[in-house]
Amino acid sequence: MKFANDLNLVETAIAGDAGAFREIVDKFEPMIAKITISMIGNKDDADDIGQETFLRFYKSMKKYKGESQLGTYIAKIAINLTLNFLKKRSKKWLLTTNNYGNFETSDCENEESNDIVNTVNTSLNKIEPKYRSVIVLRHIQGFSTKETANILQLPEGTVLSRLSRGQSKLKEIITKLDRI
Amino acid sequence: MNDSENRDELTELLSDYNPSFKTGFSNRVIEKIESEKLKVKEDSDLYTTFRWFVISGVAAIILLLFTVYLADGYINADAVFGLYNYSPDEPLLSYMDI
Repeated sequence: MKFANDLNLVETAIAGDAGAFREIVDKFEPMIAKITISMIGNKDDADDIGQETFLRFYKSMKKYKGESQLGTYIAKIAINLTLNFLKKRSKKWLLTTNNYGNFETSDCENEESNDIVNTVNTSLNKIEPKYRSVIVLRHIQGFSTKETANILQLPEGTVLSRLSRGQSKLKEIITKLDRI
Repeated sequence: MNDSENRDELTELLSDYNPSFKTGFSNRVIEKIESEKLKVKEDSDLYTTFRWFVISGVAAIILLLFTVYLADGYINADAVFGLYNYSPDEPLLSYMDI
């Protein structure tokens, strides 16, 4: 089924059309996968957070009135769940590891793609979540600074400064990994 | 290296970064929603049962008090416990005197 816009799609889903809701999930699954996997690293945990994101959206979709892009709205739910997850996990793990998470290696079949995913995951693992979230939203997901600020509920200036520091840190880590 | 160079380089590197969930993600989401709906229904059924249990109990108490009022003309603890005509001088369990 074709829908004129995202609001139309959401309204159809609210009316009880399971197909429309599935279409929303299919449309935004790649975006949520990028956000959660790059933030968390562990695919199983990211999958759970991804499912929880759509479940939360399902419960609250009546509140969506089209005031922002649907992608931004869903990304906001995903990033909040992810940051809460990382906060809980860091309490357990920061005491025992120098990393900020449990990043696993990718199981992609394509070796080159596998290398990129692993390098990026390992590098992201080494930067703090507050920088990581900005990099994920701006660079990996391609949101604008304004959208990133909206999703993270931060002033645009803060987003820019975190982006700048995050970029430098990530670049430094990737360069070190490349040398190894 | 300045911010803009860093940004361009990262953008180029990250353009090939495409992680994805395991296949069947949308099915897992739909299943999760269905199981959540079922859970909400079970909770709601439990709540309905509990509510009827409480309503029945309250109705029984009101009926008991009303019956006591009809029989004795007023309601107090003695009347409710059937001790309205009981005198402290009488043995409470008179059958034990047999």
